Amino acid sequence: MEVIIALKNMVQDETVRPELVSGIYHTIINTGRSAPVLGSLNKRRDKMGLPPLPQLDMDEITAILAPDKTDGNSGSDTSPRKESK
Amino acid sequence: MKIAFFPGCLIPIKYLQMEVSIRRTLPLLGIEIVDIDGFSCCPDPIYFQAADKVNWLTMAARNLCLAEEAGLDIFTVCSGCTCTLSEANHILKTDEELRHRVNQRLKRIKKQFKGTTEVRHVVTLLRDEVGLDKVKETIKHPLTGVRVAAHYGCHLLKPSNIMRIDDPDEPQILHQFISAMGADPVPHDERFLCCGKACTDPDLPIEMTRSVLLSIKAADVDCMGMVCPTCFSSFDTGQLMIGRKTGEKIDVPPVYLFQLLGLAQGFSPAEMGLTKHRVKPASLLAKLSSEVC
Repeated sequence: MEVIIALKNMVQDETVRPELVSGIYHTIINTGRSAPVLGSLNKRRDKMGLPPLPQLDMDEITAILAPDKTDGNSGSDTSPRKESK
Repeated sequence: MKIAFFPGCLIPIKYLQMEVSIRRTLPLLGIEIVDIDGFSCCPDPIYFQAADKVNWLTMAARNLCLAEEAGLDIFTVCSGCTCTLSEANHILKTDEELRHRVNQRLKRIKKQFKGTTEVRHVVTLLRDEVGLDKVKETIKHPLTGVRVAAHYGCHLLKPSNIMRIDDPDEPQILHQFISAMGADPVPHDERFLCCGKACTDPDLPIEMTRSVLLSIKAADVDCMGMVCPTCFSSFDTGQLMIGRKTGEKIDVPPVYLFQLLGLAQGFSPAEMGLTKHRVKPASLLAKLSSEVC
C-alpha cells in the first residue's frame, strides 16, 4: 500500500487529479464532512436511540483552510499536493 | 476508562447501526464514551490527503486539538479515520516545521496542537486496555459454530511504521476478537486485498470487491467481519452492483464486528441493526436462533 500511496502522490504533484478526488475534496472543505447530511438525519438517529449529530462550526474550518499569507498557494484546491519534506 | 469518541462521517450519517453497536457494547466493557462537539471529517486519508496535504494535516490537527482540550485520548471506529488521525498525530509530533505551519493556521481559531493525545482504533482499545478476557466475560451467547472471515482492509494496519497495530503481513487482532466472541475465524486466500473503494477506475473496484468475496465464499462462512464502514459499503452495496453487472448472486453478508459483539452480549439482531443490511446474514441469524432455542 505504501508504494501505491507514493505513486498516487507523484501523480498529484503533477496536478493530475481525477474528478472523483476533486469532488470529495470540495465536499469536505465546504461541509466539513465526507457524506451529505440530510434534514431527516437527527430524526432517524433519535429513532435508533442515538444523540443528535454533534455540532460542527464551519467558520472554524473555513478559517484554518484559508491560504497562508506567506506562500499564497496553500488552501487552494488547484495547487499541487504539499509534501512534508 | 473515559475516552473521546471520534465517530467520523460514514457511521453517524449512513451506518447508524454501527454507531448503535458501539454505544451499546462498550459500556458493558467499562468504557465511558465521551462525545465532543466540533469534530469534522478526519479528513479522508486517500483523496483529501492527495489533493492538499497541508489542508489535510490542518483539519486533522484541529480534531486532535479538540481531544487535547478535553484532556482525553481519542478512539476511532473506522479504519480510515484511524489512519488519518494517527498519521497526522505522528507527523505533527515529529516534524517541527510542519507543526509550526499548522499551528499558525490553528492560531486563527485560538487553538494549538500540543501533541498530548493518542489515537486508538476501538479494536486495539479492547485488546490493549480492556483485555480480551474481559470481553469474554461479557459474552452471554457465545457465537459457537459461527464461521467469520475477517477482512482487515488497508488502513487499520498501514502505513505499518506509524500504525503499529499488528504484524501487517500476518495480522491476528481481528481473529483474536472473533475468537473472544466464541466464533470461528476463517482464513481465506484474498485476505490481504483492498476492498476496492479507493480506485477511481469505473471497473476495477468491482473486480477487486468480487475477488475478495469469491475467496470468502469458497471458505464457506456465515459472514465476513470488518471494522471499517468504507469496506462494509464496498461489500454490502457492492454485491448488488456485482449482481447487476455479472448476474452473480455471491451472497456473502458483511457484518461490522461490533454488531457481532452485541449479538454475543445478548442484544437482538434488530437491536444491532442487522435487518438494515442489503445482504442479509441469513445463515448467521439461523445459527443464532437455533442457539437461543
